[in-house]
Amino acid sequence: MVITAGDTMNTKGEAVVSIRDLAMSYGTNQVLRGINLNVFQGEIIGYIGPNGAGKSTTVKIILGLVDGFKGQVKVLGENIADGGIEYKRKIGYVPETAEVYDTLTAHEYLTFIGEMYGMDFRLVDRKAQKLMALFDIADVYHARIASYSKGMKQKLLIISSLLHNPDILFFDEPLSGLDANSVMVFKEIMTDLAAQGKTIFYSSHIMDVVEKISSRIVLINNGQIVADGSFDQLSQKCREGSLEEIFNQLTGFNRHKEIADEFIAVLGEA
Amino acid sequence: MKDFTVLKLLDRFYFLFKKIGVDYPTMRRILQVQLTMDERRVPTILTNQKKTRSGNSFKSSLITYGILGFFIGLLMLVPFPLFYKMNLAFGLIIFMVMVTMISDFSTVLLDVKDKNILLPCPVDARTINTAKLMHIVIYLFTITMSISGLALLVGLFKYGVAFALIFMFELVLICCLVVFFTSILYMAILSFFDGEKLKDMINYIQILLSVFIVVGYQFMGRIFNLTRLTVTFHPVWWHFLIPTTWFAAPFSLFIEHTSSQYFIALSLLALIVPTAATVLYMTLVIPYFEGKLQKLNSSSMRANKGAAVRVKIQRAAANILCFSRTEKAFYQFTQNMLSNERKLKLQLYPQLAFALAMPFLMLSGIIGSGVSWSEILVDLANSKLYLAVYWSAIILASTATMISSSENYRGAWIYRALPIESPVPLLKGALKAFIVKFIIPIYLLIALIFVLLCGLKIIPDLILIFINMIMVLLFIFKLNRKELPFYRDFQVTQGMNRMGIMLISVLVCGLCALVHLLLTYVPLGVTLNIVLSLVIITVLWRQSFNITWKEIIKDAI
Repeated sequence: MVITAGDTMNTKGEAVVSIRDLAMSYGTNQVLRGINLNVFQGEIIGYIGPNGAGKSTTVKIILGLVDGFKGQVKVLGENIADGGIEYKRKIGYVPETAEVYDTLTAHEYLTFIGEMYGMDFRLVDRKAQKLMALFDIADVYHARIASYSKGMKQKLLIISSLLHNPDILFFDEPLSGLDANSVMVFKEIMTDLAAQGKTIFYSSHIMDVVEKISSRIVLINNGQIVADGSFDQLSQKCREGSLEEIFNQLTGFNRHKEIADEFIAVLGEA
Repeated sequence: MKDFTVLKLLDRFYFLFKKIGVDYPTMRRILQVQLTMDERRVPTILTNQKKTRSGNSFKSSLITYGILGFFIGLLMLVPFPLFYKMNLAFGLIIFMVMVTMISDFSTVLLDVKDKNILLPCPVDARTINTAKLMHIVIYLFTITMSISGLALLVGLFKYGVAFALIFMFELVLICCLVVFFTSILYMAILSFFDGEKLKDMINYIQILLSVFIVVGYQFMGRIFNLTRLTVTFHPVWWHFLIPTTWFAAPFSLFIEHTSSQYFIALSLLALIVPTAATVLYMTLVIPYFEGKLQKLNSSSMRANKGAAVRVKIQRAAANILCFSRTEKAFYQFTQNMLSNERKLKLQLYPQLAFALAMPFLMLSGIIGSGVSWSEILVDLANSKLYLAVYWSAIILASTATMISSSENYRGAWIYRALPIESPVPLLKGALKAFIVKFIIPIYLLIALIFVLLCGLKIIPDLILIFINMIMVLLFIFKLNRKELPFYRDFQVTQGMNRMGIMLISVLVCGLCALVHLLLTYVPLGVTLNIVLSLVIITVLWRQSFNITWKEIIKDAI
């Protein structure tokens, strides 16, 4: 069953990201089987799906981290297969399993990344310091990243993805490790960014958050888009009250109660 | 972040990079970050020593290289023909550069982290790749200079400017050649395997190469017949296959003016091979190699077919060798960990290979002395040369302390979280697993070879040597601090360091060998010795495992 939102989406001008028949396989394992998606300015796309559905792969392809895909991907009108790198200036990215040069200090790392985007050293330094202070981690600006807690590292990654004030953002599980207060701050930031006309690709397994912040939800299963629309549209079509239930229904999963019961039963085995 | 001198040097070649389409300022910045991070990295050559002040570890390893360089410098003063001296010098240099390349720079060459961080930024692939290559070359050149700096100076004073110029130029060529060979080697593996398998293969290749180079170097001196300090040298076709001869030849040609076609041909090789290699590397290898590197991240999750059988055998062995349930569990745990720990293998396997080769290297002095093979075999059969197996015992007995190191040392929190009353079964299980997995197979192989050489009658002696080896192993275990298996990182080697352990091993094994030798002249002496050693082992076993959690925790701090 494929649920699409209908025509309302296609009236916002040219797509910021446009994906045509995107397919990708690692060896014999086909991860993506024909993704078609147009993303428009100012949207917060909740990009969800079960583990191994192909979410991260899609994002990695758009960012040019993975080669060997089939189909066409255009970012801001630029075909990424042409090998140009200019479009990357407009992109910010928080990866799910982030690699960082953790023997560097935040100061060293952030200024380095900023300069890679062609920014002036002093400008990045000033911005980075301010942002760190706003996230309440100013005191570790000159400490090595290796000594950071999970939440501090996540804050650093978020700052690093936004330093160059990009127009399109890819957040892959950006809240992991953040405390409740920081989560509130970050959600607010996302809403404001979208209001400014930035486009956000938000991928997560926490359905409540996706439900609340996304203006449009794209559900991917087995390498294909199985639902695409606003939360209201999806809940109407599926006759379910929460995104979690919609997710269960569309991915064909309804055994959670049974499985939990069996699990408990196994625990009791002697 | 500091500005490195080497980068300022690199600035002079700005135009060159620009010409091949590299974004120089970006590349320079990437290099600056990489160099900063390397300063904070601990190179392999130091991992066996106590943790130095973090920050300057690369410099202190340069001092180690410098000491090596001192000997090469001395070599320059010896009144031998240059061709001979330079052969030895380049042999040492290439050896060190190759080993460093494999042990410390494989990580750089195979790094995909770089790509994950830099590719989302607007930096083109050519700039990233060139930065990577320059990174490696800068380091290799620093290392080669610290190894050969003194030789260069001595040569400069003794043979003049021409010597220094040729030497410098050849060092650059050598660096290029080493980078090329290493990447070709890795590329070959990358073409056939993927993911985890690949990392395993690289691990084995690293191990194999370090062993090969160590053992191979023993034979390098034999290119020449060194008898009574007069060097005689006869050109043979296979000399053309040894890179050291290429690099040594120009010195004979230009400094000593011995013009022979042989030296001209070799000198040409010294120039042509590395140049061709570099061109090939830049045009063909890099693009292909980088593509293949993506495989590093993917792994096929196929279950190992042999695994089920292996588990059954392990369980059976555990049931025979261990008594309590906890001990059995840790026996199996240790076996599994030992087969998956790449870093541990990297340290352990060369030692094991060395243990295997040691007795034969010791005996090779006899073999090389111009006696015929049949005579040697007769000699061996009638002599007490099988005592050379104690050389293996020295190394094998000292390896057991290695099980406390692990790359996954962070997982050790589990020991504290588990409801285990005493650490004894844990340590016993781990030690038994180590002995069964590594020490017994290697020893059996050595024993087999010696039985073939010396005959069946040495079997009682070999049994005695084995028992003595286990005795020494327990002795070292008892003396060393009490540590849980897989408990600490490789860099932090507290307690006895490797040199201390080796020293004790040499002393105790030497003593055992002496007693053994003396008792062979007494009727039933070997049997007596076996009984004696077994008694000592029993006592030691009881004593060594009289440990409580408190002692372990105290030692861990």
